[in-house]
Amino acid sequence: MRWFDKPRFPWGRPEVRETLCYPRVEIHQKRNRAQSAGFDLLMATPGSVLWNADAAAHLLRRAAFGGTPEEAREFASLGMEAAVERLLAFSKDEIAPPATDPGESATRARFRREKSKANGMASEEEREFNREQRRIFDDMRSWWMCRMHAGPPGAREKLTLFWHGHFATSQTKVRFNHIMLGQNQTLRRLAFAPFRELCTAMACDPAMLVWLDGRSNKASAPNENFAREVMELFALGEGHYSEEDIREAARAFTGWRVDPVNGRAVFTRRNFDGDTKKILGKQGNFGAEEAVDVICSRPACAEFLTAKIWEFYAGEPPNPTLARMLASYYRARDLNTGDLLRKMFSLPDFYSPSVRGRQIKSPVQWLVQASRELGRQMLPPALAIRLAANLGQDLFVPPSVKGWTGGPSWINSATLIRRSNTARIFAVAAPPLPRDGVDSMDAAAWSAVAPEADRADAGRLAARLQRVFLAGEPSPSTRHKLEAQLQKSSFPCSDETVREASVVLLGVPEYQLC
Amino acid sequence: MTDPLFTRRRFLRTVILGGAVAPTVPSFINSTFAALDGTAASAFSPVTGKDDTILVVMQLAGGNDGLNTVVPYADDAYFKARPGLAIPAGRVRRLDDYCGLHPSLENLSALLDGGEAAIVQGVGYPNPNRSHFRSTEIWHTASDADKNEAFGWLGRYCDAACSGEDPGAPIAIGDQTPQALHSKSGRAIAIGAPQDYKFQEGMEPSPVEPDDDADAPAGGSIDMLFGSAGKEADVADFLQRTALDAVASSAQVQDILHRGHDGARYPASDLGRRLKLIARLIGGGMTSRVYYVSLGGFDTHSNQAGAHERQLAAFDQAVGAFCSDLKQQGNYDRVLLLTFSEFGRRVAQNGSGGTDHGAAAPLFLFGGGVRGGLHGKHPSLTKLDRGDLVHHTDFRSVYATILDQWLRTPSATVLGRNFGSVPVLRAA
Repeated sequence: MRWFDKPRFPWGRPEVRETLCYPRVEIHQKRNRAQSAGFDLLMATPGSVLWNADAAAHLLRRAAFGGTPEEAREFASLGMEAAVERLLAFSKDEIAPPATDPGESATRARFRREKSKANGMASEEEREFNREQRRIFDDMRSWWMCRMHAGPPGAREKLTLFWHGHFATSQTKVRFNHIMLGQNQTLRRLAFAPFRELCTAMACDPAMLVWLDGRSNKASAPNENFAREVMELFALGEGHYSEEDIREAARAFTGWRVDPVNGRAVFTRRNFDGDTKKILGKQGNFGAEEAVDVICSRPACAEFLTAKIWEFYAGEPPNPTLARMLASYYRARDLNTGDLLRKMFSLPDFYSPSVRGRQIKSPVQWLVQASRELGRQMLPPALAIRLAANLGQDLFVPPSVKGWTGGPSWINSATLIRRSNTARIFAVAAPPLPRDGVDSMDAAAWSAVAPEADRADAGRLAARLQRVFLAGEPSPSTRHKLEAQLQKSSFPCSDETVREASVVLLGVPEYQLC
Repeated sequence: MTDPLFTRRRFLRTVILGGAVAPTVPSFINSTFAALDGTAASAFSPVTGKDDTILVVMQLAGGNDGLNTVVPYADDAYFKARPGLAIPAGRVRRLDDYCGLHPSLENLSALLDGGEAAIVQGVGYPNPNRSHFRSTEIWHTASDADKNEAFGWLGRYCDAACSGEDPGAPIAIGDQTPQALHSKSGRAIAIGAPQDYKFQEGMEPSPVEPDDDADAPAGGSIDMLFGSAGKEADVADFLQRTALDAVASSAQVQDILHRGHDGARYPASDLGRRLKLIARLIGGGMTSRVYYVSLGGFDTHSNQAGAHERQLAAFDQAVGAFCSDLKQQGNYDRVLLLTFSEFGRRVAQNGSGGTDHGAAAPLFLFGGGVRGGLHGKHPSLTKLDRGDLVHHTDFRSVYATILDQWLRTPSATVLGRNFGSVPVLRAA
């Protein structure tokens, strides 16, 4: 089977106008099965996971976007292995994406031609078209947050968010909704797949071809942009390749462009550099897939990715022993990311005290998790989009090809003020927010936040709310603040009391942790 | 009704002067409470941005094409390497008989004529790195290309100048604090949109209460909290300190914004708004001596001509407005604006009407204290290193000059060794 026959392109198979005449190069990858056999023993670090509702709640926050105390109990009752399986298996395909226009780019080209004839005046048709495209882009962003928010907890959307930050592509340059959404669907579909499949799909992904100039990378005029970033940021990390490797790899990635009429990636033989390339010590008449194979077969690839994926989920870099183990496991599993997650989420290291409750939430995690905790619908789209952007994580608009830095960089005086102020918007029902075009907002489900039985006295309510909102122990000052708030109420208490106490917890510094 | 600002001031005074929070004193409060309270200010009189020299650093992010900024219009090699991108000699704003400015740089050209702008040519560092991210780190931390340094050069300046009397926390305009400002003694403050830079009522983080210190080590220092105290203490402490920094600095910023008035007219660009905010904070007596701002969009791999022209024009107009604003305020002589980019671009254009990542490039300095004009030779267009210009001036000698002569802190302490100096500042 030729590689482009494999069903890996969600936007449809790329058209191949001319037959690919370079031979498929066999690359010998060392897939050490023996290593894999003894691995599970090696991996069992002393001690095992104490699996209970707290551990399950931790898993739900990290592998997905958090859950209610009831969901945590349910996952706890499954046992760890089954709980991890359920997270990996669940997929939210029922929420259909917004309809995008595959011919957006061609239409824009037509407008440009007409405009130059009309002395630079935009037609009403063009203005309407632009408004429509902006609306679709807003829909795309809120659609994705709704997917993260809806239904039982699942791991796919969180991992898709990781890959979006990893193969970070921004609408600011791409300016083509259809292919931005197409890339997102590819990241989702191949999220758990072997990394070389995902990376190959990205090498020929229409949005990536625009974002890193692959579409203007031709045999006659190579452009190094993608070749550099695939080595530095996507697969190997700095220091594991030379400038010469970049130049050679750039030639292997030549020949691709984006069809403006249907938004598909097209391979054109005459723009492909058919000469021999030498990449990372391997020599051959490489094309895009072979170049990706060469890159992915380097030991640095598994090391680089496992360290980054671990840090994304655990909130701290792996220690050297763990890093070595994760990398060799990932290689043994042929860089299968689903297998890697299954392993990671079962390791005692993942449940250690230095990991639990010590990660700073990303803005999207903050918004989605808070919505889930409050038992509310996702915020109205216009508001959700503005808040995410203001807190520093505008989906489909990462700050650079390196994605979001994450960790402590989410927090500074400006974003902390915004997070505190956002907490009030979340807790207070239906605030008039005319500048966001939002008329009303549904209230949080206070009866779900604190059921009848937990409203009997201040102590029980405090315990319940801490379980709902905080990943770790509250600081003494938070405890005082909460107590002071609860002293103002009588018990059994009203929704009003639950709401005001929730506002206190949503505003404290440790609410930033998950 | 209690005046919220009064409450904050009273809280700060109680907390700080009461000495209740020794191990978790937020860096910003530590350095600025005096400025918040008039009576306290007379008791302490630290050197601050209220009356001393100020440095504003601007990154042209993405790798500005130095060759099309300071154009060697008299060099045949330039036109040969860039058949589709070269600026014709007739359009260049001539500086001497070899090079001149991009036609978009109208204000910069006027500032150069008036001796208020300096261009240092051929700036870079040994073994140049062509990754945006790594090269930005190198510029931000002033490290050698093969070494990693956690703290920024301006953060280390603050650490060095902090002992005793603090110059005021550095301020990043935007939602990110750049690595240049990271320091041992705590993070810089970041101000995104100034009108939103305040807590809604009831959402202010509560002050650290005495309980918090019950099990903290007596006499513990901030260094210890970051060092051996472990990760757990770090992240909680980091959040707590940032929260209190936010309380104190937002009070001060809102105070200045309410008192201040608009100066010069600025272009309606992001950079225009950001520089305007900096001018307003300086004019309002903010105690910070270091500001950081960034302008993106310089990574011109394809179709460079139009995009680069627009970015340079945006840069030029905003900087022009900033300089005239500071002149009106009477602060021009004590403010220095340094602009840099993580690298220049390759001499030869690529096949997409753009240029790929390069090495050496010019950098600019503006202000009343600058020794104006061109400094250093334009690098050779024929003696290249893998297609890139070769630097003759290490950027750290520019940093050293600014540290020694402008911020008056021994540069070797901050930069780790001596890098010499470049004569870009007038004698104080």
